[in-house]
Amino acid sequence: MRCYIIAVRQYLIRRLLQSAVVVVVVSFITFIIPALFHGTVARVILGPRATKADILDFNHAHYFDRPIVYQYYRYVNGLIHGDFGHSVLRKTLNRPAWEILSPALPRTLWLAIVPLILSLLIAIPLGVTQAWRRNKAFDYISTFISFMLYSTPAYLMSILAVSVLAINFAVFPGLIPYPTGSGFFDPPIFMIQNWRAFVLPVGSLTLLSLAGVARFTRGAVLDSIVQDYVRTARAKGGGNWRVLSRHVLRNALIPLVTILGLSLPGLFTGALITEEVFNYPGMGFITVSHTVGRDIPVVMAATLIIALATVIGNLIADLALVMVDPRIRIATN
Amino acid sequence: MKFSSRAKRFVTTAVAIASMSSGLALAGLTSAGAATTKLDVPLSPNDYPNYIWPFASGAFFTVTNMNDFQSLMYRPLYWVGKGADTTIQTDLSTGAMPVWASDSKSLTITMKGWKFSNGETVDARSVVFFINMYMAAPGGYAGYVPGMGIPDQISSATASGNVVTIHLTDAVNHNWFLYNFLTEITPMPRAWDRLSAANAAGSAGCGENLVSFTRTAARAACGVNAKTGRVASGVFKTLNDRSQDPSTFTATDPYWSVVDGPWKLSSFDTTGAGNTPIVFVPNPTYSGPQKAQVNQLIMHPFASVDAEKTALATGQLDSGYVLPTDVNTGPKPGVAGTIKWSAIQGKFTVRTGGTWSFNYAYYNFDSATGGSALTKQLYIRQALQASIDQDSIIKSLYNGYGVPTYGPIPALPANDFAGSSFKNPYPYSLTRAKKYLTDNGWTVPPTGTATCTRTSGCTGGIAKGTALTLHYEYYSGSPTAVKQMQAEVSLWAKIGVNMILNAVSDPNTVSADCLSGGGNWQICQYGGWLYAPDYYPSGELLFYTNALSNPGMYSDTTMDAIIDATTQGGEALKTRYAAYAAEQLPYMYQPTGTGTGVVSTKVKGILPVSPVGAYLPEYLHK
Repeated sequence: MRCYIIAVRQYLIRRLLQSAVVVVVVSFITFIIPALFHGTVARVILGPRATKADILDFNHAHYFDRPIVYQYYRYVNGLIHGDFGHSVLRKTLNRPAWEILSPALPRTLWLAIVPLILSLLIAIPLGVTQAWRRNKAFDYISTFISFMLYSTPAYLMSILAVSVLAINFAVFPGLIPYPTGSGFFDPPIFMIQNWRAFVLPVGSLTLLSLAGVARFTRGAVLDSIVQDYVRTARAKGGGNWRVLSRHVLRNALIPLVTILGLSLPGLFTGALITEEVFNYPGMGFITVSHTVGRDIPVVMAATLIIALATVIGNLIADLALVMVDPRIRIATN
Repeated sequence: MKFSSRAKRFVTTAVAIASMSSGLALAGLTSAGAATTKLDVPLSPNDYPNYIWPFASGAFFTVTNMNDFQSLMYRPLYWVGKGADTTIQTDLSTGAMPVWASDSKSLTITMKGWKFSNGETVDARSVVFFINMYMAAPGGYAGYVPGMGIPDQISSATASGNVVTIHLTDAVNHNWFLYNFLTEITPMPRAWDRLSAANAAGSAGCGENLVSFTRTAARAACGVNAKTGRVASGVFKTLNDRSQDPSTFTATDPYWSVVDGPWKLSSFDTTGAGNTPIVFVPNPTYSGPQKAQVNQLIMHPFASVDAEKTALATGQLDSGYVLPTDVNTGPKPGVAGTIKWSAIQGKFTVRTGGTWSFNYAYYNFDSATGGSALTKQLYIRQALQASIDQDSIIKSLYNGYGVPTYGPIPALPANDFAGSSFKNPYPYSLTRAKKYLTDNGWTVPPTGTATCTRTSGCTGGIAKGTALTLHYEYYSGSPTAVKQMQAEVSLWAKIGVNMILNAVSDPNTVSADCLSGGGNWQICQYGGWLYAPDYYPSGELLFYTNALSNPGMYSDTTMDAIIDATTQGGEALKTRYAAYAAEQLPYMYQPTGTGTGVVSTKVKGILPVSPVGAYLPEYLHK
């Protein structure tokens, strides 16, 4: 046991160091790109009537005339102190990027979590059923639909939902009302209060992720049911349900942990297009609007946050796998 | 004002959707209608006000801030525009028209005695407060022109009751001074003339008559460092800082809740993210001719045109913007066609109209920043201009929603600045364009680049053997802009001009390049010029030697003399200026988009689209 703990600790340290390297590289990239545009930032902020002297003053005041290494040091120092830079978009000019992004984080998180849960609730039984009844009519039809959904771009899905169900038939609202509150638990309350407005975006996102998870589950279950331990379980007289739940699913769904871990960044960005179409001010909405407005500092801050989420997601997935999969535990030992 | 600097109103393309800023440059005539409802209107996509004090530097001098937000609450000394009219509206102005002395060097303005919402009178001190602030921190206001108008041509400004008396250092053209400078003034309440809400109104003293109207005295009164001009403390800093802090944009803020306009702010995204609707409610104490007729005016922010169009189609908006492709071509420029988009057919009507603006590209005359000897030659500029088929571009790329631009005077609405005899000096003709070149020593081959072949060199001292190659940087933010440039390049190629395009998709980069002379361009385009708040199209900001918006360093003594004569009293000379600026081609004139918007058939009391962006929602009702 002691050996195991030491091994896991070493593994954890190694993964943390790897993650730190990734974060440093990402932070450098997110720094260097806006650094190339400093001259234009001054012009944007000071306006067209600013003189060259004004621009030189501005660049000096913001250290843009200092060596790039010093600027990077200041940037990293700012990040450590929660300063992600300042917006150059007109509507949010000079506002800290974190102030702009932080209220959007919980909105996006909740908008993504609900479809994720719904898609898991639907896709796992669907995938299992497809595998269990493989090469039957149900499998063919649901596979066809899955492929259709899988290959549908998020933008098209959202636009179709709005065009048909909001504009043509007026069944559901085409836009989400403006959210109130910026606390972490405000979005779910808001979603319940305005559930009709969330039917189309949540439905679109659910359908989009459902297809992938269902296909993955089908494949994993198909792989499992031909394994010796399943055959053994059947030979020992296990019924369908018992074999499925105790032997097939327990093994087949282990890789889902990886998928869930990797979907963490998707929680922030997956709703990117959907938020824009439904005018919901989450991370996607803000990233799109600030990208269109060439607000590089905010876009870079969003990129950094998403990159951090990716790194953390990977880390969590790896650690979770160590916990749930005895084979990896043994390999680690 | 430069379009792209103050708003997201690029007129380089026909998709200048925001020409109906907020979809709402719609004013009403009818005074009937009960205050029983609300108006839902969109803000321009991806835009939101971020500055509330009507004394803004260039960074905050946007149409969204000034026209669509501040002017609803804080009314200027002189209001310009109502419907298609681009003149001063005396009934909507807080002051009576100025009375000039016979020497044109002094004027008096009698205030009408309107009331601020806290009971203060909008009097002469309210005006002097603004002028003193302007004198103290001229760089803090975007309209400042060194050496001209307010404050540099004012020798004294004093308030006595309701009468403001202003003495000038020089005689000026009355209309030029009125439309370019007096219209900038927004009377400010004494409630703003204090260092904190705990202090008494007027305690900072910036609104008091100065013993001597000097920059030093003004800076002492308004809290600007007398030596450096930098703002360290004082009432300027208080107001400027507060105006950039959206958490103060509330219905109860001790500063911003004091209004004299027809609307009061009720709700705003105080987080600064710009995501929640802005709600205005009527100001019951408004002294003007028309009180608001709806209970709420709600401005909705949108991330994209698509989201705004969804709101239109699902009945969540009373007006909005659409793309030129969503509507049918109108019978003539400035006249709207019918709606093509089936989702809103029958529910909305199309709105369009000219803007008090013109579209252009800069020529670079400054060899120190990449300017070419070629662009200095008028005959080459004439050849380039005569090769632009503006009518075809407007028809095919703007869907008819644009007007040809032949000079700096806006073509729409009709006006007398250019004079009735004004004609396009360079109508589209490739034959004529070639002749400009061949007459001056150039050989234009059937294909390929024209070359200077005259033994003695071409006109303007261009050496024999020089090829006609130019670099053109432009903002490529829309497919229409790209197609337009491709069309023009193909025409220029027919007269032997090898135009090397540099398409820049980042508006910040292209505006910085154009305005700072970076990018090594000979021609640069990123937007147009909107005559606001300097409504009088006299050109001192554009074509005067070393003018602020003259990055190509155009310099011509005749042009300077004409502008001087116009601004100093020669009202009759304005048509000479218009003709000369069209003939001399200090800029390359490009088609100007007119934009398209829609308004619900339920909304009543609508006037034509305001060319100057005058937004008067108090006239609208359902």
